[in-house]
Amino acid sequence: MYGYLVRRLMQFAVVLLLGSVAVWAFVLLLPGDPATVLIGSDATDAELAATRARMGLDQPFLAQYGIWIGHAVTGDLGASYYSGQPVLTELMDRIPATVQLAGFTLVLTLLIAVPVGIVVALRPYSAVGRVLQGYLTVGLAVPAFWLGLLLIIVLAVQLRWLPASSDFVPLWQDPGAALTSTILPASAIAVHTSSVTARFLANSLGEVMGKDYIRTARAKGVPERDVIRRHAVRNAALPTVTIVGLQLGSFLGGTVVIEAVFNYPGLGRLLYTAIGERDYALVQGGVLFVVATFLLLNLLVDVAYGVLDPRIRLT
Amino acid sequence: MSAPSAGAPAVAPQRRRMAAARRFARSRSAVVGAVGLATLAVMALLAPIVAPFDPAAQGGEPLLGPSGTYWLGTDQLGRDIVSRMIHGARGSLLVAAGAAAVGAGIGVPLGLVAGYLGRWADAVAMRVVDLLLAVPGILLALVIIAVLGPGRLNLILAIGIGAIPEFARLTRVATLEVRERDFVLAARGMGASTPDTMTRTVLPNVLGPVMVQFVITASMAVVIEAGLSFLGLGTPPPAPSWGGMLQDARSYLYQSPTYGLFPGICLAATVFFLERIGRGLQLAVGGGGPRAARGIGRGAV
Repeated sequence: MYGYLVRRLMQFAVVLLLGSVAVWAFVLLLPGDPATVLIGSDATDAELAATRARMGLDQPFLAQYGIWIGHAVTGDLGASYYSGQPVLTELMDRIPATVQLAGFTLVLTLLIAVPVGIVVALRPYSAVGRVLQGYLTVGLAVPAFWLGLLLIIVLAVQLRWLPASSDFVPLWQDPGAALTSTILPASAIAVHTSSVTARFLANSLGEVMGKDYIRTARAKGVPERDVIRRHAVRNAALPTVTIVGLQLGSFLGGTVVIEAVFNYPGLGRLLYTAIGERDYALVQGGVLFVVATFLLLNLLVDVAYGVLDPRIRLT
Repeated sequence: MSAPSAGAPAVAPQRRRMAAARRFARSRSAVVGAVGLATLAVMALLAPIVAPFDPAAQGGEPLLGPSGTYWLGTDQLGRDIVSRMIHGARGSLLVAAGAAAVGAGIGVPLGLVAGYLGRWADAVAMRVVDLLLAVPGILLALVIIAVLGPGRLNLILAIGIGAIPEFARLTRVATLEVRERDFVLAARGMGASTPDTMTRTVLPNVLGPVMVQFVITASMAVVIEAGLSFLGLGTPPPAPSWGGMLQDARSYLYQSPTYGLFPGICLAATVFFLERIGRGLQLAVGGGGPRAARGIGRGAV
């Protein structure tokens, strides 16, 4: 276990380092002088000189990176060109909204995917099983942002049950309003992600049901319900955790289009706007945050995996 | 058991391929997908002939509902929606195929080298792959377009680069499986150089899962392209695109609620056809298993 942990931590550190280099180099790849790129062409000479000094543009590349990463680890990611606010403040403004949407979507995804996956795996040819397989087929094919548009057309424009655009209402301030404003974007995403997860769970459950230990459990008289719950689902759930972890990562910054459809003030839309406004310090900070969070999530999933399944530690 | 495709690699590859093709043709869902996609592709190719109107002609009243003349109505400039949808298929299919080709073109060699050489090459390649995986596909595409600028070729590159990790991982795993097998050792023993062994002996044996991934990637690329066009960063506006049409539809939800329906159906149908083909291929070549769903995990837009 110890060796596995150390190896996994090393990988995490290396990828994070690579990521920070890529994010830093991003500004150099853009056409134009990096200092101008970062603070905009209408900056005064004094501002430009200050940015140059801050970035150390007269120094060798390695030193420039050192200066940048030195600032970044202390939380200084520069200032937004558009608002003048520190990048960190801008990000912190949006992170609660993104986390709330991601949380809602994750809960919905699991609420749908687990029962659907189990039924499809165990009773594929029953009436319910066939209907649910239909759901999986449709859910995989329908793009989340189009489904979001349809939900708006039907539920907000025609029936007027729910608001067409989703402002961010924190769950801890007004749970009811938080639910009604987040439920539409969350459902639009969850139909797709739950189909992926359910199909994956159904596949691995189908594989597990053919294993010898299931036959053994049945042979020694374990009731079928317990065979499924304690022996099959637990074993099939492990690989599914990886998929859910990847999906959770993709909710951070990967829901740009859904956020645009619903006017939801999340991280994705902040970055999209920042790219449009050439607010590159903000783009750098945002992408660095997304990469670091994703890697951390994955690390946690893998460590949990190693704790739960001793076989993993050996590979 | 997970990869019976590598079961009898040394004997008669043609016969194996024929058998796989027969299995594909026997699977009903695969045939449905293949016929559907072929129909779409023909419509896209023959768009100027098939489409009832010029997609740019502002012939009708704006935002008409479906009627005899304009089967699905007109958009905000009075352009025929059917014609724009048919022409929009071109961009979608082109970008999808292109992006999958870019992903495979870089990812497969990367995975092959990583899996076959192991050690440092493996460690370096896999960390790069981990990094690419850490950025959601659409966000990565947005950033790459910010660097490269707009345009169809850049769009293909931007989406394709995001698809490298899946190809690389899959090829690496498949390569590891065949690397120490007798026919590979035999080829080396007879004096084949390392690049030769990789391309002539190992590569043909990992192509099955790569084909499956190609189709899955194309289906994700269709959605990402539409998402980017929806945001105004995909196919540039005067040219019709499904994502761009959905963006227009969103602006006129109250005036023309049916507009948003049709381009989305095209999108969903394309993804559905590709997904069916992917499943059929998977059954035919025996690649993937539940792991093939991996790539889709990042598809949410």
